[in-house]
Formats: sequence, structure tokens, C-alpha cells
Amino acid sequence: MPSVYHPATRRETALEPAVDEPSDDELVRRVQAGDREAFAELIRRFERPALAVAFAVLADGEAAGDAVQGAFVRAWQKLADLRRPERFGAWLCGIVRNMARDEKRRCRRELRVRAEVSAVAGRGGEPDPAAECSRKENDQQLAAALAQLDELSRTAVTLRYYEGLSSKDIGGLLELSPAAVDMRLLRARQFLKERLT
Amino acid sequence: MEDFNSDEHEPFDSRVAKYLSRRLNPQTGRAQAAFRSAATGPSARQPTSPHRRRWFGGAAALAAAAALAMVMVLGQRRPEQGPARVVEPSPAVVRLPPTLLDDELGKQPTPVPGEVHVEQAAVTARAQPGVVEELVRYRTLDEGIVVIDGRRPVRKLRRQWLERVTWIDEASGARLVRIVPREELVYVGIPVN
Repeated sequence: MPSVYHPATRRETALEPAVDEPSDDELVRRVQAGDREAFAELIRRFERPALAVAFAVLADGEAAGDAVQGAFVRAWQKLADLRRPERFGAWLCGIVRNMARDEKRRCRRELRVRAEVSAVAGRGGEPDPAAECSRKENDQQLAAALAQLDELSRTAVTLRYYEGLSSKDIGGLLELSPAAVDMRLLRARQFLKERLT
Repeated sequence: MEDFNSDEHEPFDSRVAKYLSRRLNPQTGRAQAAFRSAATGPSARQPTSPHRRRWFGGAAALAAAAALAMVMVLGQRRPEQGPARVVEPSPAVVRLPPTLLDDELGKQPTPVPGEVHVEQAAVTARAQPGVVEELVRYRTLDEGIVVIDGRRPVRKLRRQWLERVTWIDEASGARLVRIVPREELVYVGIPVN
């Protein structure tokens, strides 16, 4: 029976703080009271999940980085609007998705040129051109397969495989039940495996 | 549904995880840097109440109307020429946040051959009385590969900024606008075997 991927280093409660650390909603309240350092802590907790969400929309690492940094600045400016601090993660993911979609519309041409510049700048750094060529080909296949998933499933996949979040944490960010997340991950993994193996 | 442990993972899973890490790990840290810049820089804006935002929204709309004219200034004013410098390739580039006025500004400047990045950023309001709006527009032009020192191939990037700050005296309605264009040449080293 096909499985749902759970990485060995997966943290059961990746988005839940340690016992002696403030909770997310407590940090949000501190930010709303004017504590900037509390927001810096929120960034530390949520930057990687945010990158995974943005990448699911953009399929480009650098563009995802652009969207995420803009999303955090916007979140900071709009945090006074957040009436339910315990929903910060889902609220932030909404901002990230919107910023990523804006970025996608704005930068279609730019991404192409940027990739070309990166390719030129990266020349000479790979010791084995054949291995580099093979890796690029594999990456292109994987990118193409990921692109065929619906956006929500792709987001669940990137959150699980990049950040190792539990289905409960992913569900909290995407406003899905853990069972629904598991089902999407299961189907997505089957789909990807069929195309890549 | 089974909850399989890590021993049963397949190379496929590892491949997906590595693929995502290669693309996203270089991007970590940028959000923190952007937040520090936005929160502590001269254009810092605190989370605001709805009342204050409405007031700022009006100011931003006024600024948007003037923004198109400002864009034209970029081509008319001679910019300050910043120092040229050589940097090594780095995937982590900290940029200002995307503009809040994309829709209002709308049109990007006419595409320039070799242009690699165009953004306008940061309509912000400050806490000090009278300072209502700041707009930064910047872009990077890729001018191709050149050779420096007679032997080092580098990519020549020209970065241009246009910063506009508007002060409005609420009592008299008087406006003071400061526009500062800047330009910087960056040479990105290209590894050679």
C-alpha cells in the first residue's frame, strides 16, 4: 500500500514552540503591542513554511524568496487587522499565496532572464558536467511533474518534503483537516512516482 | 492509512526533498533581513490601526497620482554615479518589498534590452509629523559580460534607484518633495576554469 512520506527528521510539532517559548498567538499579541523582536521570532518560525507555500505557486526558488520577504513585511504592516492571533499561520499563508501570485503575474519575463543570468554565473562550479547535466534533467522532470498537481496538493507536498511538517501542521496552515492533507499527499506521491520512476 | 517510518522511504522521497532544499535553502534569511530593513530603516511603518490606515491610504492615493510623473524624472535627471564594485555570485539578494502601489503605478518603464530586474517599492508613512510618503523605485540592468583588469570576465549590472519623499503640512497644505536618483555599477565575478 502506498505511503505518505514522513521524513526521518520530521518534527511532530514543527510549528509548535518548546515549552519555555512563547506561543505564536502570544508573539502576535506582543507585535500588536509594538514588540518588533516578537515579529522577528515569528519570521524564524514561519519562513521555511512560507517559502514552501510560495514555491508551490511560483516553481522558482528566487522568486519564492522575493514573495516571502515581501509577504512578511506586509504581514507586519497589517498585523493590527488580525483578530484571531491563533490563526497567524493560516493568515500568513494567505498573504504569501497572494504575493506569490502577484509575483508570478509580474515577473514572467523577468524569471526567464534571471535564469539565464544564473546559468552564466554558475558555470565552472560543477566538477562533473555529465552529473550536472543529469541532475538538471532530473530536476526538470520533477518540476514538470509537480506542475501537474493542483496548487493545494503541491503546497502540501512542498510543506511535507521541504519542512517535514506533520499533517496536522499542514492542515492548520492550509485550513484542511489532517485526514484531507493525508489524502492529498497520498495521491500526490502516487502521481509523482508514476511519472518519475 | 499507514504511517510509515523513515526506513521505508524510497530514493524518490529523498530526491524530492533534495530538489526542494536546493531551491529554497539559499532563500532563507532574506525575510529577516527585509523585515529588519523595513522595521528599522528611515521608512519604517508600525502596524497601524484602521483609522490611521485610512488617512495613510488617502495620502498614498495622492502619491500614486504623482508617481507616474516621477517615473519620467528618472530619464531626465542625471543620476549620482556610485562607485563600481566587484562582488562574487550570490543567490541571496535582499530586495525591498514589492510596492503597495503596483496597480496605481501600473506601467513599468519601457523594457530595456538586458534588463534583469525592475521593481518599485515601499510606499510608507512615518511616525514623525508631516512626513507622509516615501516611494522607492529601482531596477537592475544587465549590460553583459565585460573583462576587467585585462583578464577577469565579469557580468556588468547597473542598478538604479529613484527615491521620492513627500512631506505635507496638514495646516497649510504645503507640499515639499525631494527626489534623489542614484546609480551603482556592480561587477559579478564569473568563475572560470
